[in-house]
Amino acid sequence: MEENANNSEVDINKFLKEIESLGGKLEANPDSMVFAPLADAYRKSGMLDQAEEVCQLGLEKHPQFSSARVVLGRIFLEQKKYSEAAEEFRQVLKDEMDNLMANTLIGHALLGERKFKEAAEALRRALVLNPDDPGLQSTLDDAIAYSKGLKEPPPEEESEPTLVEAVDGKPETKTVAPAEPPEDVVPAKIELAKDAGERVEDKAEGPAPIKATGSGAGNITASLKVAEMHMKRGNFDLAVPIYEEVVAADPDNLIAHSKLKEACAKVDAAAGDPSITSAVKEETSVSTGDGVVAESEAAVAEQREAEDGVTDLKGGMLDLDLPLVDMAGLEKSTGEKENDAAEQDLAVKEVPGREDKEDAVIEQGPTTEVSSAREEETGGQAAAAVAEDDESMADVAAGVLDEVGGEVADKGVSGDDELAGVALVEPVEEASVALAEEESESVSAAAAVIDEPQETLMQSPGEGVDFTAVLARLNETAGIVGSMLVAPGDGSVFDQVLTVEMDTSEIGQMVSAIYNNVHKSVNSLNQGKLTQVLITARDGQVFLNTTSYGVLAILANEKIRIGMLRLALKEAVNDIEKTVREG
Amino acid sequence: MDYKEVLKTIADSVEGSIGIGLIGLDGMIVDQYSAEPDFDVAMVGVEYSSVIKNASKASQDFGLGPTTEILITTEQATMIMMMVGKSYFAVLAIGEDGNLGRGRLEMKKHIPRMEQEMME
Repeated sequence: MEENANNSEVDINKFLKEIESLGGKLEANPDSMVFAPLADAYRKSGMLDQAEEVCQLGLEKHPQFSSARVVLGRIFLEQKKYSEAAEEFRQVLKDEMDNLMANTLIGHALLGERKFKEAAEALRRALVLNPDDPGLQSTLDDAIAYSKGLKEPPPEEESEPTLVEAVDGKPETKTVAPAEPPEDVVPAKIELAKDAGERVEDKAEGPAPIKATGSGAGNITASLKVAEMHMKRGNFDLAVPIYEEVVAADPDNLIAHSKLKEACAKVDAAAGDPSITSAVKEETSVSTGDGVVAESEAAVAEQREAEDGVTDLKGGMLDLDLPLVDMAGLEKSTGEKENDAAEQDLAVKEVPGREDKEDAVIEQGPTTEVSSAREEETGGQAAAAVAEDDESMADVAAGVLDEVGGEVADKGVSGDDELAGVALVEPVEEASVALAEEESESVSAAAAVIDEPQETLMQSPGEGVDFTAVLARLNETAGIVGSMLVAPGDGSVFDQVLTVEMDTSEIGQMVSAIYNNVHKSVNSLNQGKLTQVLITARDGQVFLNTTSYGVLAILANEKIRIGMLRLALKEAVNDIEKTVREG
Repeated sequence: MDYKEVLKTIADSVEGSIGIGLIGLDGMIVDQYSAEPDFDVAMVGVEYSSVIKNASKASQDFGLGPTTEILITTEQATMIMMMVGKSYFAVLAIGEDGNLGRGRLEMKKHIPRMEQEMME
């Protein structure tokens, strides 16, 4: 009890310091948007009147600032002005339907208004956005029970403190920015059972507290991490069932599909049964167009060692916080060796292909060879692009491995990541600095090869134009696992080539949503036409490029080289234009 | 930590940089530095925080895990956005002739410091 009191005192002092600091900033710049965190700090300190005044004044100047409107809604909620609170959250939801905080808090405001049915609807929407939140589920269950008369709602005076308590969530832990957003602003994949709200349990009276939980995709992410760990250690047989579970739980998970195939191939190859390996190869080629070729058990074992080295190198470099340009330097310095390494066929090669039109793709050679040929064709451009690509640590590590081969593993990289990382990086530091200096030119060159964007209102490619050949060629680039041409307006997919079976219409919708979202922001900031959007995530990348006939969307793994990707994109965009012209 | 100083260091190291900000995913600015007076980091923060949230959701939906970086290229500028911890992001705006590679490098060099500071 005493400890709680002390904590509260500490919190109040913290908020008072924030108020002082933020108030100073607002005084210095009255038009700034710092009013929102200031109002929130007032709210957290319990100074609700001041909070409301600051927030109202700020919103008069910045009426579109939705985060501030959420703050004002929270203030109203704590003042027990439920209808005003609900109105603020409604305004936020007009523009941001999937705003988790607004959806959750409006549910509480409606509960305060005793509008249980509406509250249940709002809470259900919030739960869709954050399905793993048990507190939210519990509150929804209560709301449903109240609305159906299955449970007596608590008297208003009893329910309110719980609401206020709930809205506060966990205590702030940072002082740098008082209005810390909830950790669950990144909602997980929506997989809510439609009847989630039908489960009514007899729980304690009053709405349950809102709890900020982690990402709803936490289980899948955790599973993938565990599986990856097994893969890294060579325990492929342990990784397979985990990937299978993830695929079963999330059939659209591109990475899980890809990793499952990889794990299966390695298990089969490690078992030394070439017939099984062949079967896997044939199955993947026919069903998905994705070939996994294990040349021999020795080759697979060597690849496994190499991959261990890659991962360990990656970890080592991360630990060292080495500038990524150093790695680009490594890659460049070792890039010339890549073709040789490819010819040695040491690695398991992935051959991205087409899902439903095998004949156009199956005859294509291994990706590594294709990309090597592409590098030869593009010459200096490719080198420039590689120099520009400071992104992929794994790529660089792979480049290093190409140079040093299996020796990396033998030299105990996995046993001493940091030392190995230093040893490998140091010799190229100078070259890396030079590369960084040269990047300006290479970036401009890479940017120049991308076609000019068109207006949002894109032209229709016309009936019967087939882009699959263009997309299949694009997919030859190492690291690309799928591409599609999407109409940004409605998300309809003109054509696609994916290496795993996925719900293309769903992807099209997502691509469209992202593109339009970015486009809207770019427009409101007057930044000219939108050309490209690159989203880099832990396990892969999504690249959107404006073309005259739609948005070219590319899904790539985390090892893709951005420079190479941009070169391939330039060709693809040209090919798309050409395809339409011809046909 | 003086975040503005760190932001200024990044911006000053990158040719063609227009402005830089450290922003919460709710659009709230922690600190900012503008090399060009017309560049409104506050507006950028508000606009792109929703982009980051949507992109993060999409990358989770694609099965790609948490988003670490977003690049938006327009005919006037390139915006480099990198996550700083789970709840913040740094955004660096670079003009069309700016050095994108250097921008990414400098951000990657300094973000761990900011993350460390935030954790403390």
